[in-house]
Amino acid sequence: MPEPLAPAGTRTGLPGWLALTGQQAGYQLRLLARSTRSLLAGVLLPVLVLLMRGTGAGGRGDQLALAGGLAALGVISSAFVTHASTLVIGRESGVLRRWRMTPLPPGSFFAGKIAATVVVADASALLTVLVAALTGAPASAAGAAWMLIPVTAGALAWASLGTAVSAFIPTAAAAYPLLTVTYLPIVLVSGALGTVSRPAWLATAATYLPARPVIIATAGALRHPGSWPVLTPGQLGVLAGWVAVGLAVALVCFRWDPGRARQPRRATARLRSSPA
Amino acid sequence: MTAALGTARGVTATRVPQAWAVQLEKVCKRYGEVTAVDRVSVDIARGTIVAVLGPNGAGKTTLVEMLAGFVTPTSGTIRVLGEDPRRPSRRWRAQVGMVSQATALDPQLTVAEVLAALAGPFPDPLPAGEALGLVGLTGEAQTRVQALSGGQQRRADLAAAIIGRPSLLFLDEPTTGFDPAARRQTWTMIGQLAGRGTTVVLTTHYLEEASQIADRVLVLAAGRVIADATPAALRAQAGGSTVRYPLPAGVRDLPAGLRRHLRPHQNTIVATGTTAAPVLAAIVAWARARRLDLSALEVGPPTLEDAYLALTRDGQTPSHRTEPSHA
Repeated sequence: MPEPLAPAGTRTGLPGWLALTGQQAGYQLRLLARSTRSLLAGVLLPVLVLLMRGTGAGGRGDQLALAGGLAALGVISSAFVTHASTLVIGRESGVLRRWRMTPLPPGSFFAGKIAATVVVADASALLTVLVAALTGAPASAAGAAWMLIPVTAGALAWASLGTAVSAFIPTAAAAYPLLTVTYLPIVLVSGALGTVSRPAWLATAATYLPARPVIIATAGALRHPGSWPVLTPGQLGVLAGWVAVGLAVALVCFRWDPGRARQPRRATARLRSSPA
Repeated sequence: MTAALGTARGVTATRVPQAWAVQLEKVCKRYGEVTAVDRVSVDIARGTIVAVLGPNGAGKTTLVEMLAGFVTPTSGTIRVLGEDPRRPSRRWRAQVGMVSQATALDPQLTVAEVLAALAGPFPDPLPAGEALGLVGLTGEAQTRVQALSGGQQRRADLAAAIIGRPSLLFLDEPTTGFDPAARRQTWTMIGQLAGRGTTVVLTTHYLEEASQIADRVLVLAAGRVIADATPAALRAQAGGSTVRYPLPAGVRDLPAGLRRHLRPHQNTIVATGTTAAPVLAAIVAWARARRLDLSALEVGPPTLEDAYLALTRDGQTPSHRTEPSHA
């Protein structure tokens, strides 16, 4: 038999925004840590590429550039693919609706989720650099710490974009393919795996996309720890611009619920087959 | 402040706004050319348990989702706990719980972890252990959601819906997938919640569920309310006696006069009202001739299922609906 309901307590005020954001960040971090897919995509992918490719026989600069590029690859994979796909999966499964039914402010939900994503992205970048160092790249602890500035900025920009893009992905099954074909060409053309031969217009375009500034600044931070600015005003402007674009689109288009666009057809079918 | 009760029910009365948990006035929802909910006007008093019944596609889920604020009505007015559910305050959200048709909990985490997180935003949540006790999942607190059976996941979802001590609870087919014991435990829990003032609006396909726990039943068909009454009043509306005779296994050569009354999915002859007596006589005569066992033959008052099937089969229009004995 069910037990009797406990009497209501004395707490009557709604918890504050900051406390809820902290709780949400902790919850989302725990969730990411238990997700095999997020660990594979964001943390292990760059390490595996590094181990397969090696840090190369180039000079110190080349080795650190590759480590930085792969660190950026992991960051972008975590902040964009994992973040956006978990939003789509949560929307389709009803988890987002469950949160929406609570008094959790939407801002706390997103701030907490993005904070957790940034933590995982930072951890991914640190692990990549650690493996690079163990396999011969001349990375230093100071460089790794300095790298966290562009890595965090990049994670924020890509998580913002991921939040926006998630609104346009129709189903959980479509999330990974769509997100991968979106980010991977950008990352490759931006030089995450080293310099690639590309037309001039593409090289110019890449500087305005959110991957190139992260890759360049991350490699720069590894090469010259302590050197300021870590991100040039131009790189910062590009990332800030993408944060703004992502947030603006998310504010207008984000959906907590699966779309009802397919409802009429289903409803018609059910009406015709009734009664149960 | 008082206001006249809507005339849609044909009842004149006064109402105190605070007494209503839910107020709908001529609410419509259309998806393209399909009308999912059609001019529904209903008031639901606080502390009552209302069951929404209807065939698949009748508009039950659309109605509940409009009440919860997830679907915008095409026209009409909805007030839930005094607010428009499409523009709810945080205080409103703290008072409303919901169980949707699918389990909505993160599968990688334990039940206790999920409930603790979901309790965080509420001002005075139930302890997670108590919520689990209410749904009979105390022993599964440290089990990951993905490791629970389907029925247990639904119960965990129910625990999540009540974690904030809601004063209004929407349950969309809440006991689907439950074993009989879990279903009865849930009914007890819902009764307890209503006893302390929680209003419960549930959709269900289990007519026994509606019969057992609901104070009031709304029957929807093609988006319209075709009946609005207490379960007892609906049964009475079906009229007279009901004859039920589950056919013994292997019996197929049913006379045409009885075949008309066969419910194939139950393999049972059912006749209600004026047809009950002649069908009873026909069953007895046929069974005697075939030397069939009649120990399963039942004669009694109509069940809610009989009343429901009569309503939905006849396609009764809203103008024929039964008035509830309470609001």
